[in-house]
Amino acid sequence: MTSPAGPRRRPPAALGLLLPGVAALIFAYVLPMVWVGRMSVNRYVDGGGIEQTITGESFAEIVTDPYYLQVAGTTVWLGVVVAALTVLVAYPLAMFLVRTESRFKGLLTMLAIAPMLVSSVARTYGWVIVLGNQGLVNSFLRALGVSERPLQLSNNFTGVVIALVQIFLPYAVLAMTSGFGRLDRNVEQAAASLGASRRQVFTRVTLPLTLPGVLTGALLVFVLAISAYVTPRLMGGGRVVVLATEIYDQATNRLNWPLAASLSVVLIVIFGVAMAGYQALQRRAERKASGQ
Amino acid sequence: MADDSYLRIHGLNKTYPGTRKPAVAGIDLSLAQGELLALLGPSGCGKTTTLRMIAGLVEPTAGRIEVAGRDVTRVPVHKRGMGMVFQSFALFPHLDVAENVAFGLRLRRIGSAERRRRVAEVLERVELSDFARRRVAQLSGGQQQRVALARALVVDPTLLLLDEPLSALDAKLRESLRTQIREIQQASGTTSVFVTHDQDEALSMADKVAVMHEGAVVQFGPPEEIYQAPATVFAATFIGRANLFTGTLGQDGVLDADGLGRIPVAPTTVAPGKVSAMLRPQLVHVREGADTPQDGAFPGTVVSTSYTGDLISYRIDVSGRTVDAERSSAGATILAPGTPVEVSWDAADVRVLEG
Repeated sequence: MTSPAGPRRRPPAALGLLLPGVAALIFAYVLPMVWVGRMSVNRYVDGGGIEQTITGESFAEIVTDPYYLQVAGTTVWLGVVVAALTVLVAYPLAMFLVRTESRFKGLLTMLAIAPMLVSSVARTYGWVIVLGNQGLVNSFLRALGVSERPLQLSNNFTGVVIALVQIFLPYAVLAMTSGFGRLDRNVEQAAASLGASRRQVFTRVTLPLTLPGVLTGALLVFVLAISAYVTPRLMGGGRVVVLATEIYDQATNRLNWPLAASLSVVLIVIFGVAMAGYQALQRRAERKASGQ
Repeated sequence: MADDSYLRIHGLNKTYPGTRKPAVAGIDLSLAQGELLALLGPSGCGKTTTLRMIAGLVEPTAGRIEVAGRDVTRVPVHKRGMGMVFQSFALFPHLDVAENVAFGLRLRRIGSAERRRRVAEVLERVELSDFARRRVAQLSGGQQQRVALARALVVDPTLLLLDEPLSALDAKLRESLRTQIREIQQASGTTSVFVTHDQDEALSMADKVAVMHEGAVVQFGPPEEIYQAPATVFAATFIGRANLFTGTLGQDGVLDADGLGRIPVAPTTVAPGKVSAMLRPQLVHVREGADTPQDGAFPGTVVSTSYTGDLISYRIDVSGRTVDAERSSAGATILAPGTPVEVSWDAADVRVLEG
């Protein structure tokens, strides 16, 4: 992107205004990252010692030990499943909020994103209560006589997915409503007047035009899901091990900081790959939707 | 009525929920095959609602719409086979020009060879052959409008509907596109309905004009009839400029006009009593000098003069009343404000209006 006015000299004051932000980023982001990168190539000595050196031992352990590969796999899979389900649930909601002509539109939008005001720890405990073996859902099913054995909805992958989908829903709704701006009732009506049924209007016009918003929502939720720590820990009951929980265990319980740092680098690489994939897809969707 | 009407609208009514006053209140219209109908009126008169009911985008509260003898009132929009051009053009931003035009053909499962032929043909007709692979966002407003027209025409619509098709464009472009749309419409013989608030557009393009006011059609007829013989005060003042006289119509057919005295009028069927009468400014004769007033002429003074190239418009004070006059500027001297003049007109040009 180039500015239409051509290159302009920035006034020195503008650079000065950048300073606080840049300083904060260097102090709170770049330096810790460099530190993590440095730590990832140190050697772990049994008993909790760390030898300052440059070695790829931790990374070698991650790529050769099936356990870590499985953890990484679970993490990516969790991200994909949560992103897909959240987008599916959020799409009709976002569509409704964009289209409604109700005078309560503002209030409804507020309500849709209000759950963000409650910390994800509190919401996860809420789900523990609802989905546990003695929880709301299972008590209800037992009372109805539907099932004798409790439905396993917590302390497993399913429970983590359910809780994460609900927790990330507002983010997806926000990302989507802001991405649905190109949607125009007249364009859909034009398609209908040319002979498109409701389903054809959706697949040929509505969906292509809303795809950029969907992709943004999906990426956001994917990134949040693969870095989630509290919910997999509490809802997973120790049975769902993802990179975030494994990093915590390595760093605080085993004191294997080089391995924890290496796992962090792996997580960052996954971020990077998702980001690159997103941008490639987004460029295509964007080009289509805006007609550039 | 048993006639050759292609489009027949009977008692069409739309009352939106939560409102008492209908947006469209019982409209009757009919149109022969190949004709172009203009729904003309100010914003909020119900013209767009009427068009959308014909298209199937708005469900009528009551009434019937027939196209080619078939009742389509309850047929869903995508099964009506009509073509519609929207005010905002409503092109598909994710498709290029040719794909936009081919949209309706694909839905009709027309084979790729014929599809390509018909798209090429219609793009040629709207002079956009070189733009087939362009993205619609790269086109100018006038080009987008022609893509919208091509997209609607390519499916051989049972009716072509145009919702203020030119209002988003600048004045010069409007005029050239007006002619182009009319030519394309006549060449294809597509029966068409278009909505406009611009009287010039309606008069110059349409075979029939329906003047709408507050949800009702106040006058329906060919353009020259609408202009020369407006039925109501609203129609007279909305279409073109008009001098309006109020007064009492006597049994002898002479109008006792307020402030002007007795003036003869064209023969009328309107009952004697309080009436309004209309005189078009270009039918007012203006003669310089008022020393020897002719019979039936009124002395007056030029109040203001406006020169617009081919026309000169005067506002003339006639014993405290303003009379607008307009004449061709060819070979005429321009009268300065303050000039004493004499105004006159033919009795046959003063038309008594209903209501």
